[in-house]
Amino acid sequence: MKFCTVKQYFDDENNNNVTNGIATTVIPLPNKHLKIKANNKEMEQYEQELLRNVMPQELTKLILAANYLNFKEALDFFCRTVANAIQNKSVDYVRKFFGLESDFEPGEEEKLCKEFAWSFEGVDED
Amino acid sequence: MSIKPKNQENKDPRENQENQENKKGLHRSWSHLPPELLCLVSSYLLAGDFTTFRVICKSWRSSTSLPRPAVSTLTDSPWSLSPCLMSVGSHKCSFFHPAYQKHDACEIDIPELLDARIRFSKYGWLLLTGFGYDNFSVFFFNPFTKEKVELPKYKNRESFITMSFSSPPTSSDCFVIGICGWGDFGFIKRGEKRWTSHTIINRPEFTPSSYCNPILHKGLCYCLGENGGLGVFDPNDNPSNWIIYHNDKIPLIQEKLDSVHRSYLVESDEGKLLAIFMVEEGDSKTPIHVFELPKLQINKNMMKPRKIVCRIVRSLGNRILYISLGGSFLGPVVPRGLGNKIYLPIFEDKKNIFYSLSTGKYHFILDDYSAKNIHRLQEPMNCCWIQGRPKLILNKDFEW
Repeated sequence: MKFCTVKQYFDDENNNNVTNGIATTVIPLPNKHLKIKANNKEMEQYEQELLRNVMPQELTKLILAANYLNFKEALDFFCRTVANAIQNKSVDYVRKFFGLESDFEPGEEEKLCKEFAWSFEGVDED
Repeated sequence: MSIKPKNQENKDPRENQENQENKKGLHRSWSHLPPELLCLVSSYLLAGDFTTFRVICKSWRSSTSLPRPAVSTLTDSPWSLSPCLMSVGSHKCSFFHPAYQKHDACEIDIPELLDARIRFSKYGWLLLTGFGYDNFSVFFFNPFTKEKVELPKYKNRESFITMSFSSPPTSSDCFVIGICGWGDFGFIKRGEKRWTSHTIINRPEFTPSSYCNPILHKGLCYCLGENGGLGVFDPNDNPSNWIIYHNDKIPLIQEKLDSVHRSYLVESDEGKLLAIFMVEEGDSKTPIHVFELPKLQINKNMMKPRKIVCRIVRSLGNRILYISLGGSFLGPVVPRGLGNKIYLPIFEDKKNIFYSLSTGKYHFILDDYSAKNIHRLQEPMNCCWIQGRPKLILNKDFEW
């Protein structure tokens, strides 16, 4: 079923969502996934590799591709990888890492930080 | 006016431009990711990391208002050994854990619990009483394995107000105590066919609290009193002889006897006992007080109450305290941001309330609202924290 969507994608000429490079990463995933599904440690290693080589710009494209192809396992995997990159990190680090800037009003952001002050303890060093 | 050093200005302008382009591209890709995909990412984050996610930028924050996909059931998760809040509704039992911040994360149909009242929970077992005329049933139930252990019925007109048990019903030294109020109590040991009734001898100044279950700790039974005092007795040796202690800090936190409206006793992981008092107060005072009880010298011949010096606990460090009438636990923390807080079995609009020791206020999970007192909110009837355990199967011919 998954390969039907892939075929459809290749037939769709106007599709700019997924570049060839991404396709080569996503397509072999089902096989790899099945092989290493049982072994958690290898998944971790694969995740680390992914993080080092691909993050962070390409990862958005991977997520969009997996979503478009309706490939649930890959989508979950990529989202979990992103979540692991955010885990235990400070707000500034996350912003820098993903290239985001705060677009809150100055007063709004201060208010948020104050209300959630209890959650900002214990982050890793930047 | 700042002057840039010359060598910086002569840097390859093309490289700078490329960096800027990359930066913009990165920003665009992450902030414009569709909200349902951002929501999926955020569903893998717990507690403190989840709030970090919400503070990054506007699009990330708004994605969290979408319904969150259920990640995994509570019983299989890494948090399966930490307490979760179980509430028995009219049709289903729902389980909640603060790390998931989602009420009704897991709902199970348990018909055995529908007409029973949860009294105490420990070691993954619940102690419940069923309703009856002139006698009522008492039984243990494990909601994770659905196993039930019936105890002999308690034949007495007065029903138990508070109850507790010492160890899992599968252990040979398990015993159950039920306090009727006004100094009467009943208890039964594993293997006994009938309950034995006792009365506290000659302690007019002490009345067991009707809101706080007794705790069995290191072979002795500890019970908080109505006025914040402590009663201790040895269930194996003259259980009617209760030694009474007065907490020296209680007069400091209350001016009227009835301003303490909830109290709890918890065993800490360091083998000490903590006493927690919830006070109905105006805006100026602390709503919850936590004390550590000192090591007690139990002198069974002591007739008059003794004063004990309790230590005020101002911070729980990296631990969470879960309190409810049916069971309270002090646990180490795993997800960042949940520590040094007291989780209450109270919900308003399906949002759980916790108390932060660092701010001295009550907060809602996932919300910006905080308050100094919550006396208008009720603790639901059949609701308590329960600690999961690795699954044990009872023998078919298991008997109390």
